[in-house]
Amino acid sequence: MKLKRATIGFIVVSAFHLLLCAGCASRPVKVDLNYTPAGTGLLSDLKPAVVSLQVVDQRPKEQRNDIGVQRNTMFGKRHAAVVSKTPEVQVVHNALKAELERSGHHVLNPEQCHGGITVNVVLTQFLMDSKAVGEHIELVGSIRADVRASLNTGKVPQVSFTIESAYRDFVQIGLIRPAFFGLWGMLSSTTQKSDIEKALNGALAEFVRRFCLEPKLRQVFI
Amino acid sequence: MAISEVSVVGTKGGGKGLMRIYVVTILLVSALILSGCAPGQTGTHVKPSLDDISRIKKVGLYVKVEKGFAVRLQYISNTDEVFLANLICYSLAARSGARLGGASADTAAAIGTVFGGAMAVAGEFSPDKRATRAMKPEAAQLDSAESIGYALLDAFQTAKVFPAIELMSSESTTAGREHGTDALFVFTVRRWGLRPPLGSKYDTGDKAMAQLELDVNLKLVSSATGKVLWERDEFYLDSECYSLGDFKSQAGLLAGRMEHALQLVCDRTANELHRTR
Repeated sequence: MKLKRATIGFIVVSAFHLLLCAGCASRPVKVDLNYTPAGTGLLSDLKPAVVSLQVVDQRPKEQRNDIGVQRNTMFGKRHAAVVSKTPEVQVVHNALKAELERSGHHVLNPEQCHGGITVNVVLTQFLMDSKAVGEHIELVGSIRADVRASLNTGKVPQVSFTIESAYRDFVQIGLIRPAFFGLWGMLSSTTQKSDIEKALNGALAEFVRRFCLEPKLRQVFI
Repeated sequence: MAISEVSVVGTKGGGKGLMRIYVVTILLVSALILSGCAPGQTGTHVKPSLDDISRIKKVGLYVKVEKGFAVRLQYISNTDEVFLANLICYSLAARSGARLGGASADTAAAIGTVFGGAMAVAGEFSPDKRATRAMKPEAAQLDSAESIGYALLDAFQTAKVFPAIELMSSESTTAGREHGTDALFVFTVRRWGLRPPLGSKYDTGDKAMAQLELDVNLKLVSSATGKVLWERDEFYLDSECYSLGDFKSQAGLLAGRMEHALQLVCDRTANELHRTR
């Protein structure tokens, strides 16, 4: 008797959840991306400088609208696109600016700056994805950019380099929460928005770190 | 004290109280077993002290390979080798569930074991497993601790990460001291192989696009004290994508990309150790 009631309850909850989710399958997930610095500035050991910072977008067209995929955690099927609330170019610019300023450098836009150091960042990739690994979901975020840095006086050194950052983390598939919504809840569970943000913000933090530790960039500051 | 309280609850309230504790314990143990399968997140876990790093004159390099080469082009890759853990968990969960429901625990355990076993067997015939097997000869050049060790030794010497470096056959700090090293650099390859490019479809067959991934844990341990001076999880994703067919047919392509990845990890290590604040 109890088993029968439990089965009926399970089916009812599953059907209710199916109805709730039916209309929202393709709505893009909007994520908040920001860089949170920790510890001392990564470029604070260098002489303070005035930096003209410009970030431009040269990603393939298909990557400009979607910066990732929200997937069904069970089968990996694409559920929705991931989009950023702030344009990605702005996100990268803000992150680099925050780190440079935290390290004691003065950052200006190219039109305001007539001396100091020019840094041009050409964004070529800004992506995230997820994959099942055993009982976990593997989240990977990756940012790639070509960077050119030079002294505004025209003197050497003028340097160019590529920054590639990849961030990986794992979260439990987490069947307990979707299980409240019955079988359908478990089968239709998708990557959480907070996990997507974690992957992309992790990649952003790694990108800033690589940028600051790049020996060629440091040559220009000396 | 806690154990005796549990026993009292179990006896007074029939078998149910004790049974619930039993089920919760099993679930917790299962979660612990499975949580151990996932490596840590990318980033620096132990920051180096410049004093410690500057004292290092000679380093012993020790390479460990936790998981060798694997093709992971499917969303759920059986090459992740957690099927034994799954098998145990299915069996335990079925057994405990059956006890709560009053059914025969042994029957349920048998069903759970058969289900887990069927999944493990099905995994053996999956496209990823077949591709991994097919590419083993191609990957063999760099698929052992020894071969990765020699490739790394070259890369570290070229990048001048440490003043002197020697390949070690043991992780022991005692052996490190006997060889006159100030620190041991433990390079653990957690996983390496091919994965699909980010945001792409999970395709099968030789047309499926793939890129090289390398997941490593880097640890610098003092030979004198055994203290971890620096630790970082590094995840490398190759910028070049090729089809699985290219990786299979072009001799040296996979090894070349892996050597490139190892070189880049060495360069990053040099940057981290020399300039980390």
